[in-house]
Formats: sequence, structure tokens, C-alpha cells
Amino acid sequence: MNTLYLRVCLNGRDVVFPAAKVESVVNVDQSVAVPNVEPYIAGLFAMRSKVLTLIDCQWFITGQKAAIKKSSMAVVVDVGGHVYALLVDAVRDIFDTDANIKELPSSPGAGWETLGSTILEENGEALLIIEPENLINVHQDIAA
Amino acid sequence: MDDLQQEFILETRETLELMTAELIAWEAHPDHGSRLDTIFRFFHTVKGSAGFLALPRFEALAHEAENILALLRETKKPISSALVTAILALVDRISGLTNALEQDVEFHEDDDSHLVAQLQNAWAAMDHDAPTEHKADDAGGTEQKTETQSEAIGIAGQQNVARTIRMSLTLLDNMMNGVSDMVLARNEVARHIRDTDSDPALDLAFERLSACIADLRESVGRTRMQKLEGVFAPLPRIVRDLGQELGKDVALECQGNEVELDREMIEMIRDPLTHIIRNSVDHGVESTQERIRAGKAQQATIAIHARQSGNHIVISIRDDGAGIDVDRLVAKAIAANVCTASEAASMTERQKLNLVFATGLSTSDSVSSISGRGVGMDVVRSNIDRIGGSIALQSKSGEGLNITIRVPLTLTVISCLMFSSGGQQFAIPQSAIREITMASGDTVQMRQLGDQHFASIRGQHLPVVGLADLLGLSEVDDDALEDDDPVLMVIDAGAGIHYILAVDHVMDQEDLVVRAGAPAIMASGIYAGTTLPDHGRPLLLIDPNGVAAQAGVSSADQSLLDMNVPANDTAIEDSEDLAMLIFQDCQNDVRALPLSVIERVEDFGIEKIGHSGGKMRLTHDEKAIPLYGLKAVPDAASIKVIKLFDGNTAIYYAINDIVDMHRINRKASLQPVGNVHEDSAISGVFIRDGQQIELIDPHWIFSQFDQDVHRNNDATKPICLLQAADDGWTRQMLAPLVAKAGYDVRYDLREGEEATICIASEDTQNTSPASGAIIALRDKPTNHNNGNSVYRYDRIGLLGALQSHSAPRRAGESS
Repeated sequence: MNTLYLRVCLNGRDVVFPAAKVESVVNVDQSVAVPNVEPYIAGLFAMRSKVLTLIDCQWFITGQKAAIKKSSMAVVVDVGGHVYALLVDAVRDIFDTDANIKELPSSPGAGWETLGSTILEENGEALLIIEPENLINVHQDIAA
Repeated sequence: MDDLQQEFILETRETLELMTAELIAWEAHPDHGSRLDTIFRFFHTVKGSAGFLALPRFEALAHEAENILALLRETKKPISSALVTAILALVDRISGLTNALEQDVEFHEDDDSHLVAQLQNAWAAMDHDAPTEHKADDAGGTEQKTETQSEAIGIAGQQNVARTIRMSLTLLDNMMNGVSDMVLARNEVARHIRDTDSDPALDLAFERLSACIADLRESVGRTRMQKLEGVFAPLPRIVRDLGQELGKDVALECQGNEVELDREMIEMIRDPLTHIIRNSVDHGVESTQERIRAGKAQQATIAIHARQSGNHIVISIRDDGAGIDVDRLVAKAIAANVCTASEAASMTERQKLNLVFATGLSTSDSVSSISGRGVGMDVVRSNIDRIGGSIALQSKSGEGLNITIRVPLTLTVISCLMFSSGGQQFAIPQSAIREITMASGDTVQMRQLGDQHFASIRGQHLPVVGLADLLGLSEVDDDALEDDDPVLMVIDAGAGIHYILAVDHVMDQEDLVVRAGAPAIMASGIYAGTTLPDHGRPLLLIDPNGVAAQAGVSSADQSLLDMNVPANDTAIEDSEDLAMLIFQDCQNDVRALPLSVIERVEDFGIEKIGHSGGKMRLTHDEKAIPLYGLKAVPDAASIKVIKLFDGNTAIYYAINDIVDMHRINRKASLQPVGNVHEDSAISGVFIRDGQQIELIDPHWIFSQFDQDVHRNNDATKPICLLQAADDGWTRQMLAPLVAKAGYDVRYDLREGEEATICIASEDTQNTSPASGAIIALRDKPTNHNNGNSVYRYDRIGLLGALQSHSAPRRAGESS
């Protein structure tokens, strides 16, 4: 059975989101900072009448905060009834594949491990599957 | 089939709740024929539906209950409380089975026989204990009659019930979101219209669209309302069960079932209310023996009354128990280190009473299974604070306790003040703000004690929390408090926590739709949620309580600071001080009028009030004088009327009752509201005891009167020439205001006429004719040119300027 994936670029690498978990892809132009919260919260921004929480994916990988530019792209997901926008470098395409999901063959590096634990092999390329929940329900782990 | 079953579940659950209340009411008044009928009908319906849907357990249980009730109806025996308990047990079981059926699981107990046995035993016991307690046979006849009568009423009542449908909550929420989207889109259109040359036709159409959207938003908001009935329904059962357990005889009286509240709000007040009721039964009400000794009625009464007052719901819970023993409470507080003995000695009675809300304090000597486990009134209070409500106590030793809870109508729309701090915008619930003042104001002294800033405002010392510092927004300018002139907001964070929040600028007040933020944002504890104001950029709503916790401001070091201390003698008497009469008007809203314009308050008999010539009028000194503030002749013997006097003209304004006298600082406490778009009678809003009170613009009332008297009398009015008359704003906004201020509005002058006053925009004023005084208008609130111009929406300033020029004429023309 074929599954749809959204292919995006994150910190210079291509990764995929399961399309079923993605609500939409948006351009983030204007965001409002949220002071005094976990560093991976990049701010708030409004999409129609909804207030979305921006998540800085890059922070998990590099520990550096991403700069929000006028053309920043974000993947919109709904986790636990709240809508989040995950900042990515670029959105590549959407494709469907019947390739099998595999466990990570080896560690992709500390930061990447937080983002996902499975990969997809597409045309000889190994793509990390991002699990949006991992980027959102992190505060317990960090606090611990 | 599934639909039918679903219908059965919903219907049964709804009737179950009502049934519990009915049963308990019936126990208190066992003779009530229609109640027995209702209960009987319920079991009969369950039995019928269950038989049809092939649910044998429901059917069997309902059948047993129905049998006993039928016997009871025949024999007319007074019901025993054991029987009620047994029937309640059946009701519980049916309720449990209904839940299991809905979730499609097996019920954890599969034997109902002991319930049936309990019922039959209770019946058998009654059979033996109360042999043939027939009422006289003739009484039976009359009872029969009342039964048929009430049944007839019941049927008639059913026909009048408004028709309703069931609807999914998701759909409602979608509608709410849709309307919010629409409001945002409207705002965007408004911005574009403002930027382009205005076309009166377009403006008018847009105004209409805006009005429609506002109406729609309100209607959709109302769909979220639920009746309080749902919260009250389980309370009789709680009171009954607790009362039995403790051997107390307590009657519960509920009023205001039909009062409506946002459904989220309903959930938020359910626990506090239940807790208060439990407390009342457990600690408030004395045992039967004590009550007899004290000469009270054997049965204690707890009364709950709910009513709507403005955009708040007021729920009062009154018991006729022993009240709070203040001395014992203080002793306990000292023992629990909540306060010291010397502090306690200087407390007012009210402050002592409020110790009930201190954390970790319980008035009961022993911990019972019901309440008094330290989870007490402090939790109740913080729950109510969290939803922007307030709670107040009134205790009379030996006579009982009265608890009043005020909660806003809805949780989702909160009246917020928007401000900026450290270059970012935030919002804060208006209900938390006691006062707003500038750090440079005459009444404020800033001090520093160690690392902590303090401010004394009229003799009160409060810690100052710089929001930008707290949030790490002002790393560069560390001592912003000393360099700049911050705005100080006196915050009442509830639970006795008061502090001052220093921010950069206060911007605007708006009713905002607040939603909870993402968990990671809420975890910081500083924010109460996120919101999207009209300008379309998200805002963070500050949680006053969270800020206090984060900044380390606790109630311990200032629980003794009473915010209601009147200004002491050493404080400079500010010329901006405004004394007011606070009253309840005939719409039951609490409002205020400046004391300076009130000559006296009089009572008039209702026969002197009448409706004539399209207005309410008061017969006084053989004349029919317009009476304001009243829409129809009230249903009372007499009415209070305020006589307003401006030196020339007397005006009469009807009110319900006088509430209080109050003094505020006009600059610091009065927030101007409304704009020239609206024909608003309100000149500002201030906060008193956490309650918003509108200050009526006396000028507006007098201007109304002026219209009444001088409508067809333009010749006597001074002439006001408006320039730039082809501009829509001038004709539609400015002209009506000027006319209302008592001028004959002209766009050009006839031969030989002279304008008393001329209004022009700031940049065209030089070209105006040289006759009369000139008022220059500017487009921006800030005055860049330092000229004498007035901001065009500064209604007060504009009216002031108009009035100052017309004053001599006014005095001359008065009769």
C-alpha cells in the first residue's frame, strides 16, 4: 500500500513528514516572539483566525535558533488539539511510495535522533521520517 | 437501531438528572402528587423503551421501581427515606448501565438482585411501620383533583416549550472560528477603506456589514451558553447524602436554574460550587440538637441563588448555620503561621474573615471524610480567580454565612487591556487591574529596597515588577524603571496578592477571544493564553497570578495591605479627584454619575410617572418633565429619581437604588471608552472592588435634554461653520456631534450671518474666514505641531472646546 510523504529540507538535509500528519504548508511572514519559554518555541503567528505556535526544528539539531525570514516555510501539524508550525528550510515535494519503513541503521547524530527513529529508502536515498510529536512533547525530557 | 439506542441513552441520562432532584424534593414533600407521577412516568418510559430495544436489565429494574411506585400511589402511604435511598440506588444503577451501554462495554456488576431486594425490604418495612396511614377518605378526593389539574398544566406547559435541536459541539466551534475569521477579514477591509479615499456609500454599506457581523458574533456566542441547571442538578443529592451521613437535616433551595453561562464556564464553577455546598453541610450547618438549643428551625436551609448582572453572573450561597467563628479562625491562622498575633490584632473584621482563603487553613477541628482536608477555600478562590471571577464572604456569627461568587458570562471573550513592554505587545485581563498610573505622577513615589523596587501610591507600598525585566526583554537597559517613565498598573492577582506591573505604554482596551496556548507555552506559567486582536497579530495574554509567582511576589508579606484604605491626609489632594454617586439603574446595571452635578435624590410615587409624547415623563410642579434612564413605568409603588442640575437646567434621571459614594482619580483610574461613532452616554469606566462601573457622561444627558427642548428652535442656536464639508467624515461624524452640542451646523454662511465657531482641519485652518473662534482638528492623537489643535476623536476635548465657546449664549437663553 502506498503512503504519501512530504519531503522537506531541514538544516541542509532532506527529510520526510508522513503526509497524513500534515495539515498544510505555510509561509511564515510575521511572527511574535514568546519570551521566557523553551528555546525551541520560535514564536506565534496567525493563520486565518488561528494562532499557531512556531517550532524551531533546527534548534533540536544544532542548538542554534533559526532566524525567521520573510520567506520562511513551515509545516503545519495538529498535535493534541493545538496547531503547530514546524519551521523548515524549504519544502521540496510530495510523493507516494510503497517503500518499507526501516529502523535507523545507525545513529544519525544526537540532534537528529530526537526528530525521528525510522527511515524510508527512496531511490537509493535514506530519508529520516520526522515524527512531529517528538518536537512538541519534549519539555518533559528536557526538564528531566 | 444504533440511532434509536443513542436517542435512548441521551434521553435517559437527561431525565436521570432531573429525576434525582425530583426524588429528593419528593422526600421532603411526600404528598406532592405530581412529583410521584413524574417519577412513575420516568420508570414507565424507561421500561417501555428498554423493552422495545431489547435491554432486559433496564426493563427489569424499571419494572420493579414502577411496581413499588404504583403500590405507593394506590395506598397513599408517606414515603420513607429508606425507600428513597433504594430508588436512588436503582437510578444510579440505570445511570451506570446507560454509561456502559454508550461505551459499548459490559457493566462491571452483573447482578441487580440485591438492589431489588433492598427496594422490596424498604417497602416491606414501610408496610409494617406505618400501617394504613390513610389520609381521611375525603382528602383522597381532593388530592385526585389536584393531580388531574397539575397534569393538565404539565401538558399545557409542554406545548409552550421552545423547540430545540441537538447539535455537535465541533460544529458549534467551527461556527465560532468561522465568525472569528470573518471579523478578521472585516478588519482587513476596514484598513483598506481607511487607506483609500472614502466613499460615503461604501462607508455606509461597510457599517451595515460590520453591524451584521457583530450581531452574528453575538448570536454564535450565545449558542455556547448553557443553563446553570446542569450544575445545580446534582447538588440536592449531595446535600441529602451528606446530611444523612452526618445526621443533619438540611434542605436545599435552588433559584436561577435558567440563568445561562458559557459551557466552559459551567465546567469551571462546578467544582468550587460543589465544594462550597459540601463545606456548608459539613461545617456551616449545626447538628439538629445544636439547632434546637439555639432556638433555630430544626431543618437547616442552604439557598443558592443565581442571577445575571450585566456581563457577570452572581451566585450567592447562603446557609442559616453558625457562620464562621472569626476568633477561632484567627487563632488557627496564627497557629498555622499565616499571620502573626500583632498583625491579627490590627486586622479589620473583613480581613480576618478573608483568612479563610489562606492556604492550608481549615476551620474544622477534625478532618472528616467530606471536607477539611486542607484542600479548602484557597483552592475554591484560586479556581474562581482563574476565570476572572471574585468571591466574597459575609458571616454573621450564629446566623449563617453568605458566600457571593461573581463570574464573567463567558471565558472565551475577556475584556483585556493591551500594552507594550520591552518592545513587544501583550494583553492582560482588565478584571485584574485596580488602577493605572504613571510612575512620574504626583501620587507615586518609587523606592528601591535591595534589588526590589517598590512604589508608594497614596500611602500604600507595593512591590513593582518590571515585565520587560521579568521576561528578559530589556537586557540592554537594565534600570529601565529609573530612566523612563513607565506606566504602573496596580494588579490584584487574587488570593491577597497585590503588586504593580511596570510596562512601557498602555494602548487599548478590547474584548478578546482567548484560547489556551500550546502546552509548552502554558508551562512557563506566565501566560494565560493567546489571542488574536483586531490588528491580526497574535498576542500573549499575561496571567497576573503567574507573573506574581515568577517574580516572587507572595501574599505573605502583604496580605495585610488593604487596597481599600482611603487616601490618607498626607497625600496631596489631587484636583483630578472625582467624587461619584454609584447607583443601580433601572436596567439593574451599576453605574455612576459625578457627584458635582447631582442636586438631590428624591422618591416619587409611581402615579407621577407616565409615558407621553414618546418619552417617559415625570409630573412635577404641574409640568411633565422628561425622565431619563427609564424605558417603561416600573412595577413598584415609588421610584428614586436623581435630580441633576448644571446651574440652569434641572434634569431628572430614574434609578433603582443608591449603591455607594466613591472617589477616584480621574487621570489614573478612569478609562475613557466609546468613540464618536456611537451615541454613547458613557464617558468612562473605572474598577471598584473588581467590578467595572460605567461613568455616565452628564453632558450627554443634558445634550439629550437640549434636543428635546430646542429641537425646532434653530434660530436661537449659535452657528457652527464646518469646513471641508465634502469630506464624508465631517458630514457624518462631526456634524451630528456638533449639532448635539447645541449648534446650528452650517457648511456655508448666508449673507449677514456670522459663525460663533468654525471647525477646520489642522492644515486648512489658515484659509478659514476670519469670523468667530476656530477649532482646529488633527488626524493623529499625538500633537506634533504643538499647536492648539484637538484630535478628531477626542470627544471630550472637542465637546469641551465647543462648550467653552457657547457658554455665554447658554447662560443668556436659559429661562
